Amino acid sequence: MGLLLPGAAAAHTRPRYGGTVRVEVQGDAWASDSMARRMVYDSLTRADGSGETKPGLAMRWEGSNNAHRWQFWIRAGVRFHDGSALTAEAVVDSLNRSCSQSCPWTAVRRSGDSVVFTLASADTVFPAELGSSEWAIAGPEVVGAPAAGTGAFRLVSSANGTVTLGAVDDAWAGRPFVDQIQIAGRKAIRSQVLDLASGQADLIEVPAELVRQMQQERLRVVQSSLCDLLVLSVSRAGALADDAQRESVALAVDRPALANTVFQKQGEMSANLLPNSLSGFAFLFPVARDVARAQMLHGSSGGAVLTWSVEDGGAAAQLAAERIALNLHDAGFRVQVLPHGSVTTRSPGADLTLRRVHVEAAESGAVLREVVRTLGGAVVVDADDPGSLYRAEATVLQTHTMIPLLWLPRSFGVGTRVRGLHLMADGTPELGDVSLEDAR
Amino acid sequence: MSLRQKILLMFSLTIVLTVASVAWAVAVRVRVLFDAQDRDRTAALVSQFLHEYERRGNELANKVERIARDERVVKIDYDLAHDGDAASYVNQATALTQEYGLDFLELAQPDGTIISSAQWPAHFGYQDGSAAVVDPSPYLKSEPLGSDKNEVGLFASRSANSTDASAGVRVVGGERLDSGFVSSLSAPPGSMVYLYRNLTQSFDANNLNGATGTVANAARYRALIDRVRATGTEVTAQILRRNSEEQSVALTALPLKAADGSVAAVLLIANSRDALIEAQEHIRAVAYGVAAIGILFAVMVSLWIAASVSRPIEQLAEGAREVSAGNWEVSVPVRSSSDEIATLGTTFNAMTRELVHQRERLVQSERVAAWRELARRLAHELKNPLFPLQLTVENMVRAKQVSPAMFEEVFTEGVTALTQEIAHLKTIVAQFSDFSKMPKPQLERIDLRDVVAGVARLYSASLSGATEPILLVSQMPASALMIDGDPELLHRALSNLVLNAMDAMPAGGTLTLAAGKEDGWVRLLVTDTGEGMTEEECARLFTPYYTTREHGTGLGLAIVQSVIADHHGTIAVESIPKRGTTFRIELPAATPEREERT
Repeated sequence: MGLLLPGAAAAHTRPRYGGTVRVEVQGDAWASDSMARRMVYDSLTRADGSGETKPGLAMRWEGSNNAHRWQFWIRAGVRFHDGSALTAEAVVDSLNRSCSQSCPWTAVRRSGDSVVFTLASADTVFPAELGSSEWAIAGPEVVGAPAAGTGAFRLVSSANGTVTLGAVDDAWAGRPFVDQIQIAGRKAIRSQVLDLASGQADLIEVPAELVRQMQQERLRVVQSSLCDLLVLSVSRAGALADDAQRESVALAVDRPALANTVFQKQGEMSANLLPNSLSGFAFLFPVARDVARAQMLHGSSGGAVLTWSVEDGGAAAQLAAERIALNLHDAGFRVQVLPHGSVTTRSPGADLTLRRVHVEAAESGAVLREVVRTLGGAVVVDADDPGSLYRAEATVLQTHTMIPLLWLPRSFGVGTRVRGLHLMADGTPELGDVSLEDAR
Repeated sequence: MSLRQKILLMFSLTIVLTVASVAWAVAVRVRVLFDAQDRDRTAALVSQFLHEYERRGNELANKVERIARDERVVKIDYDLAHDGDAASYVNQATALTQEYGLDFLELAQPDGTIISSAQWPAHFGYQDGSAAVVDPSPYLKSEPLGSDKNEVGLFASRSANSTDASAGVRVVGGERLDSGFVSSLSAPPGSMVYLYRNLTQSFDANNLNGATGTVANAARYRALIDRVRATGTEVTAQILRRNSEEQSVALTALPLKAADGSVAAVLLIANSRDALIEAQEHIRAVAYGVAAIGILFAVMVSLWIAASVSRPIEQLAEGAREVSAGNWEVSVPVRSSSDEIATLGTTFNAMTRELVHQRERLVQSERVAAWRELARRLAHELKNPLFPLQLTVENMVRAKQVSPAMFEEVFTEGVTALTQEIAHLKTIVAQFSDFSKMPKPQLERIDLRDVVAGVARLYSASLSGATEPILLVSQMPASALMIDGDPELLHRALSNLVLNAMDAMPAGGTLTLAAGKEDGWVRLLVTDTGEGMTEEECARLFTPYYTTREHGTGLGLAIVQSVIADHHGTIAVESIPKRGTTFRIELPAATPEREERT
């Protein structure tokens, strides 16, 4: 859960209402998994700071038929920002709009004031999965405007890349302390740091590789638990169709260099898809590099030049990709190393793709399912059987199509007037609890 | 080739060769001067490059020295010396590079382990052997940038530890050796400086840069660059203009070597040869002009020489041709001068005058001889019939006086004899008359075989019915023997030959008439197996009034020869005594054109 670093503990006074929190982010301020959307839309469940699944828009839930059927009872008295009531029917409509295909469920229907999910396979962590922002509940679609949500903030305006959210006085979870949140998108990290240092921003995103530098500069930084997995996605077609070649790639990667140098010791080396804090069996997946075996598996032939793509265009990801390419070169692969500083988008035909998977779930089984599903696979996990988690993960990893590298936290620079900031389990700031020291 | 043409050619060649020799000598001299100028410019540019290289190297060394004394680097050095974490400084080189305006910068541990690399950020933790050594002087190096890419740069290295250079953090900074470096050299007009960065195994045109970037038509420098890369020594060459859009240049390629002795780059200094080529073209144009004027002069001189030398000779040659054609009355103009040409003309005219005089004398003597011969023959021919006439008349007179009874009988016999002799005289007179009135042939397209057949038909009965029969053999070809001739005259001529043959074979024999066509001529052979003739007789055979017979007029073969000559043909005789005689007649065959017209 949220970890409050030095400076945050200074908020001893009673929170004040009012004021505008100024947030700056690198990406689009109204992106699908953005901080703004998390403030406007709620899900049926949510994870608390300890990762435990708590009620959201659903007051309670119950599984039956050996976890093939799940029923969620909708919280009463909740209204969308447009004034319409939250009903089970509205929830079903929203979920159907969110997921027209490849859904975790096979059917969803209203049953009185509840919603019933039917699953194709048993899923004991289904309630935790529903806490994802992907399944957030939105009101009926409105032409030319975003659909209404039920969150503590509503969308006031969106112009010039800046989104303005206003506090909802009758929010079901209670009125936020601040009146408004202004989220400015597409801001370069250097510009964000300068704005934070000069007091023109209250909250900024901080890449992992800059956390140490900001701390050395005495800026206030908060970090989440490990919620981003840096993973190398390997194509099973083309030059790496052979299992031995993919295993050679996995053995060639120098994780310590990535963790210690590229990401400045802000992450956790990992050769499995779950952080050790959730699984406890990370030691079963060694992270050490074995260049000699990688060379042996690769063989003496030069082979084709491996093609790269990097989903995350950040400087650290680019550097990580270059480093991995250098590692692969050591193993005998011919790799086209990306020019430093270049931004490339994901290419479906690439042999290797460096991806950064953001995980919103907090329970181990749900995390594993979310990671594997995000990477294009599927896995069955029995939450009641601890051994099944290991077996499921081992089964996925032995294909060497997903090579975990690091688990990383999310970090934010926090201005001096911000009080009461907590981070959700997925690293999203809980701005509903934030107050401003200089508010009226 | 005429004498005039030979003189013209000789004069023209002399002038052209003279002009070409002068032009070549001037062109060679100009080229030598340009070569010397190129060498001077190349040496100046090389000197300038080395000076710039040294200046840049010193500036770079100062920058690297300042970086090594920068408090951030000193802090890194101190931190690492006290077990600090090198990972914290992985991006330090990039920041310092931008601040100090360098292209390359590496911070490395004393053992060469890279702490931070601006040019290849992912290279941290790897060993760079060159970074382990602190080289006080700038040096060239091919720097790896990842992805099998390299870049050539001028480098300098320093240690962050001023007291113990071997223990401090290494600072290795560099500047890219590219078009920016080349553009700093101020090449004089007509000179260009290119730099080839030896980054790839094989020649890559993109690695050749001039002051404004990549070089157009870089491939034409490939051979030269490859030689320098292979040998590591200076190479010079010339690239001549292939078309008007390309420059012709004299090239000097110098290897720029890295510290390990390998060729890191190749410096090309190109001096334009356009000025030389323009000068050569100007010289060539002048030479062409002078040669043209010279040839014109040669024409004029040859015309003058023709007027004074070759024309009299040509007139003499023309006069000689006229004389050889039978026109002896020709004369050539004689100049008033007393040189050899005038003497030759005077002599030629005297020769033709003498020839004309001699011919006239010869004609007169032959005419007299002919008249004498004619008189002799007439006297002879007329004398023979006159003698019987006289005897017959005397006999008739004597019979009247002595025996009137027999007078009637003698008178009758005498009248008969007189009539015969008078007829004989008429015949003689008629033959002479015919010869004098020989008509001109009326030419028409005829087949000679028809003429031969007609004569054979006419005399076949006489030949076979004679007391001693003569066998007539006709050997005619299957194809026609077309000629343009008068059939009546040819029939008469051939009849004369047949009659001569019959006379030549009183004891019988074989008369052969053979004909054929060869080389545009139709040949007719009349061969008998008679007594034959001597060579002297043959020589005089066609002389008018010459005969070997007792009662011949000697005009038969003369008529034959006249007919054949009027047909533009020839007649010859070959005879062997006691074996026979052959008359060979050759007449021009009718030409196809004439055949078509007919």
